[in-house]
Amino acid sequence: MNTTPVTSPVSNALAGWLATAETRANQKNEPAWALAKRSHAAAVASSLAFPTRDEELWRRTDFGGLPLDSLDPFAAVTPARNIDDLPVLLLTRLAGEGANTALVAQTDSEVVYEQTHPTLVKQGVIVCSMDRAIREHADKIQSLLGSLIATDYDRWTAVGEALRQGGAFVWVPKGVHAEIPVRLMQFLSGAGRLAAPRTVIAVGDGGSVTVVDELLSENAEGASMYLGGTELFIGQGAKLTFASLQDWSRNVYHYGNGRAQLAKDAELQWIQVMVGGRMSKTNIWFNLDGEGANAFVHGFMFGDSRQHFHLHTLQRHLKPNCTSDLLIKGCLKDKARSVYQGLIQVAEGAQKTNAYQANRNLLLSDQARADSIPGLEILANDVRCTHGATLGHVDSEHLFYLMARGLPRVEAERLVVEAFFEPVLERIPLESLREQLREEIERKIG
Amino acid sequence: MSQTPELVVKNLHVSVEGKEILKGLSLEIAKGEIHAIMGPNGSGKSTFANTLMGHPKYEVTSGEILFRGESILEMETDARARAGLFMAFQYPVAIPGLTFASFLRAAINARIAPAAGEDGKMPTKKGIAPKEFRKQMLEQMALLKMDEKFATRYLNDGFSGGEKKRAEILQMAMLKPTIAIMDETDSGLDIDALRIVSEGVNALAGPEMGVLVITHYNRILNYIKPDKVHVMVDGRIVTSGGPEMALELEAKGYDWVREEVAQ
Ligand SMILES: Nc1ncnc2c1ncn2[C@@H]1O[C@H](COP(=O)(O)OP(=O)(O)O)[C@@H](O)[C@H]1O
Ligand SMILES: [Mg+2]
Repeated sequence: MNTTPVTSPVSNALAGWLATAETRANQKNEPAWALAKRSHAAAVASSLAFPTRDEELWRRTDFGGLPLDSLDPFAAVTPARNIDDLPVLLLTRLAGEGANTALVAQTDSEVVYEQTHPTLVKQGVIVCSMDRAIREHADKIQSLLGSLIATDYDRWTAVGEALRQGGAFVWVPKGVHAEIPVRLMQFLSGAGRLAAPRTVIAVGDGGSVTVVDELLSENAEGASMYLGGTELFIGQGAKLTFASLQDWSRNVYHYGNGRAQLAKDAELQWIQVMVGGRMSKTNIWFNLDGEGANAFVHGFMFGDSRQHFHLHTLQRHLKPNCTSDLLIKGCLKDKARSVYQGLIQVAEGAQKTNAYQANRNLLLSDQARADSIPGLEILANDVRCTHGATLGHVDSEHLFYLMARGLPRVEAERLVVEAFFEPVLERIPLESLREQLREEIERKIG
Repeated sequence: MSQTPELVVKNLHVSVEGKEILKGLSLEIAKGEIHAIMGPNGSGKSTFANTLMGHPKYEVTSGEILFRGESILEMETDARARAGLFMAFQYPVAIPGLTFASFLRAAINARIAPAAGEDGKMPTKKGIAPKEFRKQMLEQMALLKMDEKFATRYLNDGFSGGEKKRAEILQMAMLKPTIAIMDETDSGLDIDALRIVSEGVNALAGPEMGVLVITHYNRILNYIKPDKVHVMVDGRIVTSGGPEMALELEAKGYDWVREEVAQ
């Protein structure tokens, strides 16, 4: 690994950002423990270089085209006085259901609106901004924040942690089934923005909750960046349904880390949708860290023009008797490209592991490309692990069948592509969201 | 006075991957008629059915297919379907992710909207109202003794052999073709399913529809009474006759026809 920091306008900008982030946190009276994490991350960020194509996880994805010095992580943000003040794009997504949900909405670098719900308050569920959590719920958040995402995972990760601005905190007490879904929204308002939110979701033993995290932005000429991290803690026998819906406009570079920690008999349903952005790189780890834990992961990427998606997943079986079942679909048009890099790790002693990983790719043009790089590292002997990848064009027998019923070719193709996504789409928690994403897909198919 | 047949096939030669499969097949079917083609496995029956629907793999090297007096050889599959040709597939394909109901509704909309397909796109007209569609579909499903749940299942995905065949007949009932070709709809059906499917076909067959039943057993012909039976061997119709032909075939087997042809 190349660890020499590069001296370039980029890293000059970066040094300035790291200093400013610390100063601002001081001014905001950030508690000492949070400040210490921030300073540590800043030191790590300074000591590392940006990853290069020499590294396995960066061989196929290069952020070189991102003009980092054009970004301003501290651009002023106007808070929303009420929910109707939110950007139209977010209101559209809420589809009039804003009152029936808990919501934390962020514009660029700041949470501009947060609301919980009377039912959740009664249940003792906490939904708030990360800033508020650090101030008011230090007892809960301090040990969780940053405990799953290693600061030195790579330089982007360290920078994100050092710049941490915004994000949300969701906390469900033991045995509580949160009756209201929680929605998190990140909005980028234009060019030159950089958002670095950190979100923590913790479900107490035997509890359950559904959280949808949406990433949206206003289309703009210049680049913007998202540098976010999400840490999920699912207690014994608890259940979390988490949907991450990335629908950026085409000027956004996305770098995201997701980590989920599952205790004994915990269940995670993770839905990962990636349709927007110029270039996006997402690393998600699933730590099955208690016997009988189950993680189900369903996701898709749909790229057009020159969009580039890179998804890395790690199914970490640390304890016996756990199941992880992952299906990632990719559909690519025009000159779009996807990289799926999935690893299954089974620790020594993690017997009776069931780990499945599948990546299915559908190419709609000869210039589109999908790479699939599966991997297995198995240190136990009594396990069932499978992984498989497929790559193909629209099946001509499918087209013939549909056309034999009178559907014009274009329409038949549209149905086949929609059908490809549907099994993932139907897992998305809210019907209004499913409908909007179906429409989005229809528009993308063209 | 006999009317002009809707479907006229003249001396049809068809090749797959350079190999000639149909070697001069001729046939005429008018509305209101039920024809049966019987022939051993590999004689070219599915090749014929798929060629009628314009499957791109099957190349017509010579001969004619006239539908309502006009050649359809240059027509795409979807245009043939909208013009009124229908094939119940011998092996319907499964499309996971596409529900049966949304597929069928799209197919009906493609057909009823007059401008469909002219620019390769769906017409902007809305088509059949969802309520009306559902009502019609449920009626037909009841006739075919299909569970309502069928509508929300993915197209042919995990359907049993019998369910697939019923689903094909349901599509036929909803799309109301002029000529329906049924490629071995009887194979893989138990007697009950065969009876239900046959009743479905009999209910649809009438003055407005011609039917071509393709089979290699005559079992289905106990339920669907053909006006004419054609025997196909090695890419040709070698002999044709009335319904009694099916019985004769059953008694004597295909070897009998082969011998007749050889003479
Ligand atoms: N799609 C195809 N590709 C290659 N060969 C084919 C194809 N369809 C049919 N054939 C060949 O054509 C011949 C007739 O097949 P088919 O039309 O399926 O007969 P039948 O339906 O009467 O059993 C067989 O020898 C078969 O192998
Ligand atoms: Mg056949």
